Amino acid sequence: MISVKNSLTLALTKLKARKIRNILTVVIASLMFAVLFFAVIVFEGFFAVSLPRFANETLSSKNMTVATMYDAISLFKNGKVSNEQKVVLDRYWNEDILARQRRSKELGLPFDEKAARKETQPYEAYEEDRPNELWPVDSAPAVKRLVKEQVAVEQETREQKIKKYVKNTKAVKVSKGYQLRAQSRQVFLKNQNGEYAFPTNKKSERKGRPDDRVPSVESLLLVPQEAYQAFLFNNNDWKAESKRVPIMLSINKVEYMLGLPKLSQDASPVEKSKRLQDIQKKSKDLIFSACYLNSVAMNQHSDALSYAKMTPVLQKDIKLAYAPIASNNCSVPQIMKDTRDAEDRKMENNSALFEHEFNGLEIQPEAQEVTFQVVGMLPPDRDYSEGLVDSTLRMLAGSADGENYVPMDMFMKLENRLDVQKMYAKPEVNNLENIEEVTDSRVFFFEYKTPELVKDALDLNVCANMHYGVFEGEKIPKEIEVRCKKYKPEFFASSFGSRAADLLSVKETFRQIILIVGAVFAAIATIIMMGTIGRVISDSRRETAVFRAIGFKRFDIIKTYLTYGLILAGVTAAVAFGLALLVANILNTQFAPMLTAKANWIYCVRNFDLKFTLIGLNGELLGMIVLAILVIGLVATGLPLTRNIRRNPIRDMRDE
Amino acid sequence: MEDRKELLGKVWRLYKNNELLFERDLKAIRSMEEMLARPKYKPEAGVKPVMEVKELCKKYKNGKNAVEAVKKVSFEVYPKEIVAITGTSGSGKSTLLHMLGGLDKPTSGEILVDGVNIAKLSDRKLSIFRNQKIGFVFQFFYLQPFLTLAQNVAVPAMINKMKTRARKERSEELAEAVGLSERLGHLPKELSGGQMQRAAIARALFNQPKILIADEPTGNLDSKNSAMILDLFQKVREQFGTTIIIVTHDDDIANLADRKLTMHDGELL
Ligand SMILES: Nc1ncnc2c1ncn2[C@@H]1O[C@H](COP(=O)(O)OP(=O)(O)OP(=O)(O)O)[C@@H](O)[C@H]1O
Ligand SMILES: [Mg+2]
Repeated sequence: MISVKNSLTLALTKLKARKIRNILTVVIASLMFAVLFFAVIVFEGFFAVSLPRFANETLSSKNMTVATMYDAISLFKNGKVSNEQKVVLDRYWNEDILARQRRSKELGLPFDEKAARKETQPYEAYEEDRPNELWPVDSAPAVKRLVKEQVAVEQETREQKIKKYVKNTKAVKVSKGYQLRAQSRQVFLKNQNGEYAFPTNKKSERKGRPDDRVPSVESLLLVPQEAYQAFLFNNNDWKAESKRVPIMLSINKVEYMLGLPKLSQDASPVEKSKRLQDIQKKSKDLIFSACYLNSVAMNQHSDALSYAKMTPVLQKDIKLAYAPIASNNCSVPQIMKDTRDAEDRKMENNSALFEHEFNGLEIQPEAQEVTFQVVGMLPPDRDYSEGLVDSTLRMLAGSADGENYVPMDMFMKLENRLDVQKMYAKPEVNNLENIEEVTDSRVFFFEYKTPELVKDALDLNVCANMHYGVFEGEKIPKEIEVRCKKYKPEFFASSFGSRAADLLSVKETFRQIILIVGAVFAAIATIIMMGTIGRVISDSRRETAVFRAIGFKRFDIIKTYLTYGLILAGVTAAVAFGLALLVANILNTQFAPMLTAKANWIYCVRNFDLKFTLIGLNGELLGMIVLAILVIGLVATGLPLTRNIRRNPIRDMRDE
Repeated sequence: MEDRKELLGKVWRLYKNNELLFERDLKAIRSMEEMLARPKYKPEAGVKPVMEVKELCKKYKNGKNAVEAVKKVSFEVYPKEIVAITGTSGSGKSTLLHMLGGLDKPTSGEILVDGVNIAKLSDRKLSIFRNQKIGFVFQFFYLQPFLTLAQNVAVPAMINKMKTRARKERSEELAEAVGLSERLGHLPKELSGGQMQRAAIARALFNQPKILIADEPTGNLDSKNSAMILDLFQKVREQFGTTIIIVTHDDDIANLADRKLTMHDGELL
């Protein structure tokens, strides 16, 4: 057998034999593979090198999900009222109507049974053509009663459910959080003039779209430390005695509060990092108050507004009138005039009592001021005018869009915690020691080791949907269906922190595209190379015959040509890689600074040394492409070679 | 005497056709004359033949037509002999030669080289046999166009893993033998036809083959160069002790050999 060195020497003569054709082949093939290399380099740079740099600085590095538990919903299979449930609901409904009737009588209030029945109807037909499919009406007292009983039963097994879910999804950690919503209060913030923005009769104030950068505290997400840690201000000085609720707002809202103008999307990297640094510096000034009015106070205020608009003649008929709440003071409306007699008062009190007892409305007006201190800054809110790069980055940065984070451990230390909790309590809750009584919007933060596990956990949502029929007709993958059979899911999860699952699917899509494009390119390259190599082989048939005569074995000839094919492929791979690297480099110098600025902003990082790069060399992936090209070289040699190697050397020498 | 007359006649024909320069012709004639005048080599009695061919047959079958290219040919070749095989076109010379060199397999019959019947060897063994025992020279020199002369000459060494140094020495020795010492660094296209054929001969001799087989080695050369090649063959025989079998349809060349076998229709006359 001839040595490698010798087969190299001979292979080189094959390269020289059809110089132009060989060069053209290399050029065309390497242009195609350069596209592949380029895609892999830039993709790797973007997703595997740059994004983690930023993600590691923020919440995005955590593989977490935030999940809500299916309690009450699971009561209604496929969201529908079963026949047995209908019987129970009908009973509760009747009991409620009877109680209302009895109480009205006691309180001397008029009672319209037909209207009351309609008002408290616990179910309705979903569609007219399916009158037998009944859907529960969430707000109906009968439904609430049924749910309450169910929740009470389930409460005992809640811990078990969590344990089961943790085991099923292989979570390494679970922490609790709460979604607080002001359900019985209206919340007002002070405007830039330092006045509360209570409703008024002035038309001008109602016009125009409100600035979406105005913070809102109607809903708060109490999050565990690992979720908020990355977003705390560097010089945060919050104290529990301050009675200020610690809160984290999106960067846009923080800017607004500091009176900083909105930065343009194409603001330079310098401007953006300067803005981020500015905010950090001024972060101590970020204190604001909110006024919470209950429905009674709200009603009195709007009554006061209508009263103010009335003519004196009409005003005369009004027995009880309030003054609107002054915009500089968070207080209940003051009584301006009260000409009611004892009977009037009694009737009014009784009807308020009735509303309180049966519909959960409060009796006394309430106004309370709560002060907040911004202790950290979240990634920016969605901006619908943003470009592709920003929205892609945002998608991957995965901020909790539109949420206000309240650090849970800090909140629990707050001296006036119970007062604040009360603002977010559900109407019927009275004992506020336990935060769970405020709301049943418990959320659970599950942490996982790998993005794959996050994806798995999210996939299980389909089970929930399947089980509860939330999305009927959705296509369910076979293996998930099998998994779902074993396990009735109790949680509905969304990705939180890292968008690992999205990244995985982006990567998977990319992999498929690369595979398809790669296969097409490989096929084209094989054909082109085969043409050239086939030509070279038939060109030197006679030489080959002589070589055989001299004593070269078939395999020696094969080896020579395979070496030639490998060199051709190797040169192709090298040229393609070089070209790809060159273009990627040019692109990188062009766009990296812009991307760095955008990523700084969207990930809301505190470390300004992070740099974005579009160049990432994934040895494994690149190596695989090189290998594929070499294999193509071998195949492209092998095919024409098998056609030629069996040729009789004598015949080759004979035909001239 | 007759040979000479024929030779002169040929030169005259060429001259009339303006194909040769006079001066060169004279030289060619002189060297031819000189060569013809040399005594023919006669192997001593009792010497074993280097090659024995016994009842060799080759049939080609192309569909229904069968061609018997070689019919029951038997002869012997003795060490250091220069044997010429002549015959009309299509008489089976090349077919015979290919079988002798182990490039082609006979339909029947034996070819014994050093007592081994090469007709029975496997493809792999034949490759080794060709590399070790046989040197081939062809009408079209088939040098590798992108290898230098030195590299071309040394191609046979690629198979038997000769050291670079030994390879170089051997190339130089052979280049000197064929008178191409000055040209070792050149590419084939920079050589004349005669030089190329001499290079091809050097290549054939590289592994010190017992037998050199040449199919129309002068078919592409003018008479002066043809004479030179024949002269070279004699020199090679002297220097390396090689047995040489030449196929040619040129009687002038055949006459220069020690022995002349004539083929007709696949048979030896
Ligand atoms: N592969 C083949 N298939 C069929 N017939 C063949 C084949 N090779 C050679 N022949 C036939 O065998 C006969 C001998 O051919 P060969 O080439 O040996 O003649 P030659 O004496 O060398 O002729 P030339 O002087 O023209 O080279 C011819 O009739 C030729 O057509
Ligand atoms: Mg012939």
